[in-house]
Amino acid sequence: MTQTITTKLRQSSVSHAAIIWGLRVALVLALLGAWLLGTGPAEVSPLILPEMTTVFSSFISMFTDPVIWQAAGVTVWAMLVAFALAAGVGLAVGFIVSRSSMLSATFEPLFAWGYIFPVALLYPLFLIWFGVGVESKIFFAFINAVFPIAFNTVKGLRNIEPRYLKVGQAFGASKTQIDWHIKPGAAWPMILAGLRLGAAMVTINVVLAEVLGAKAGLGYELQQAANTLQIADSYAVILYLIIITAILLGVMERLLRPRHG
Amino acid sequence: MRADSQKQNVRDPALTTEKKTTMQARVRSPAAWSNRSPETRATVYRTLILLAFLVIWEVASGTGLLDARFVSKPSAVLSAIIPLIVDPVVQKALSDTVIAVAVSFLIGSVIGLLLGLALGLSKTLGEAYMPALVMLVGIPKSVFLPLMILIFGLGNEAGIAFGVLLAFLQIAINVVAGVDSIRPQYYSVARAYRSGRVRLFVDVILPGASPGLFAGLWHGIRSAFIGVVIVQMFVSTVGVGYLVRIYTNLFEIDKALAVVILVAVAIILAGTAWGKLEQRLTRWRKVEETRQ
Amino acid sequence: MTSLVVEHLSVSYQTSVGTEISALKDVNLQIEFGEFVTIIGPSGCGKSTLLHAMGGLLKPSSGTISLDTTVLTEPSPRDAAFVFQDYSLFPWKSVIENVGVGLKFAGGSARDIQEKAAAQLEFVGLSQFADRYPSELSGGMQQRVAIARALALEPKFLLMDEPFGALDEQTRRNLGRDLTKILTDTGQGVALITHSLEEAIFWADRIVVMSARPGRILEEIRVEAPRPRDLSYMTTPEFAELRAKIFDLLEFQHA
Repeated sequence: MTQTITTKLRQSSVSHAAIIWGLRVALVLALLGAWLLGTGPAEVSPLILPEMTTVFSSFISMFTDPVIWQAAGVTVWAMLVAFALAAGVGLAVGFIVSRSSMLSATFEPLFAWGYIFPVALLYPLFLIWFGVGVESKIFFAFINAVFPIAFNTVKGLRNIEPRYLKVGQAFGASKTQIDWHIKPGAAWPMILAGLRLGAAMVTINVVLAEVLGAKAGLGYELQQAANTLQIADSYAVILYLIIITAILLGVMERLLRPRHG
Repeated sequence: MRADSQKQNVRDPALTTEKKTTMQARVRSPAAWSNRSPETRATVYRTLILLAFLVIWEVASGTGLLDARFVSKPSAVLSAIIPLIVDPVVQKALSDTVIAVAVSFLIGSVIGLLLGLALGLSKTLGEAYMPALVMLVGIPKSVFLPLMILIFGLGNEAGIAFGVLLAFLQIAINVVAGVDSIRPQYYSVARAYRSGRVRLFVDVILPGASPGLFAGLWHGIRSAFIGVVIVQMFVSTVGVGYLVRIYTNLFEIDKALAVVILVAVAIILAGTAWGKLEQRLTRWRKVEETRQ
Repeated sequence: MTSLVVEHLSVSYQTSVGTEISALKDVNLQIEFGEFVTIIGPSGCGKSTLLHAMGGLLKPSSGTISLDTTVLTEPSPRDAAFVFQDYSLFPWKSVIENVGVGLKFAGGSARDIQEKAAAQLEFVGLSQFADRYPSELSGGMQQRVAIARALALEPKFLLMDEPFGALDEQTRRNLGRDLTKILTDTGQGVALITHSLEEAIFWADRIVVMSARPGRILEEIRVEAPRPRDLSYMTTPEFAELRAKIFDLLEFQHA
């Protein structure tokens, strides 16, 4: 009896998975189909939508192009450094501020304002203040990312569920032990959310800086390709950028994911 | 980031017997500084910090520690604000921006709402496409900027298009989160009372998803604004972003910063007002959360 | 022989609007080592407050809690360890780490903690789940982990706040069956709060019936039947008599 039930369950989960993947494949096919339609019968200008084949050949040839890899290196380096700085400073400042209720009450809104305000608006000013080099890019991304990280860290550490504190108390934890062994664990989901936001901010703003004003990096290559109307190349660079940032974000997610899920 | 209600650290009244003594102290000397509410004190400290920052900036620029041509000074920025507000060029830029933001937000929220509801309410669709949506939100959409310029040209349309792109993704993902958070019991109750589809939507889904909706709308507006402004900074000849770019390039830093300050103040005020509005409309939630 | 003594305990607190609420009024109670005392009373009668006070988790407005002659002013898990109604395990720690939490706070080598925690897990029958996380366990299993956590410090007394409250009937009975074994083996004194009349009688050497707020002890009822008891005890006339008596006491309060 149990055997039929488990086989039935397994079968339904197989067909379920089939539906899910079916839907996804359908979407991809639809997009590719639209692309073919665009370049074919719909006659969309090749300046907007180049032939699929040219984009893919561009993509393949870039894989062995040292210029592209060097640019990718610049971009990835800037993202990693900016995130490390934002996380380091954001977590530290958030932790320190969370220790005192007065500090928290004073600074939490400031961090929130820093997050709400679109720092991107300051970009032209950043360019003349800090130039177009890698440091300027990193600093720009850092400023964008540090606020959500600090804000979420403070919020997480100040809003621990009372029952966990109670358990600590009941089992004889000293104040230091509560601070080091209970609070970080309990606050981690919130802090992690902040780190995710920070990571997104970093990727978005490094690329933004490169596309708008920097002189190196994949964003810059993209700009160049677009400006010289090598549209297929620019599509290919976009694909590389998407893949690379997706990988970076995925790695970060995997490293920081709490084990208990 | 959720605009959650703040939970005090330890609410159990019996555990905070120190409160009694503080209350007595409050009665004894009402005017003492230490007895002002902590929120007021925090606001004062914050204002002092901001003022200190402005003073240091002013002095540093004045004495030449910082090059005033690059960073300007608070006095110059402040004095630039009023003439800017009445300047018709600035007013046009502001209205152009507002219109562009409004249009991209409206289009973006329609698309985002439909997409979010579709993925949130249908388990199959959600399971199939959520990873793609999450990935799209995570990657830097600015990669599409040069393409958008190519497609839409140098006018307002590119800004609106980019704003739509940023906005609808934010709204969609927040709507999904909101719909996800509706407790299954509410569905069962509605079904038990045989509520029709429309009733179910209005009475159960909308309120239940409201935090997600509110967060989504707020992030949507913000994203639309960022999208519009970025394009303006980059290429357009209209709008707030354009102003900042022009003033910066002309080294009229005081004006550029004045525009930035105006925008910052407007956004912060809007954000606080929005938060209060959300709190008012979702008051029933607090009871829910504490009972858990 | 140690005993946990509650003398003239009163607890009152201020509400947010400033009125004073008296939760417990002049409660006197003594629990001997090895004795199983159940506490039952109407909702809001302060039984949870009483247990929290006994665990050092709140400061009484007046009166004392003492272990023999030493007055307890703060939580002392080696003397009286707490088991919460919602288990309150740390979701970010593994099962075995949770069990070792009290030992960790008390200081001690990592190996020592690991050994003792593993032993307790074995005791409650969950050794194979040592490296899992609380979210992967059912309610009944989580409560067992919580009990193991409390027992890890080898306390003289166990304070249990409606430990079966969140569990279904079936799990309750199974857990109850195991608990009987566990608690008779270790032999500490237990104070257990319950709102179930059956549980109150089944477990207890002595049943403490409380009044509505402000909580006082209405009556203490001895249960003579020797422990550990079989489930069949619940069908005896003695059981029915006790049940009727407690029901009366509680109902009388409501009237």
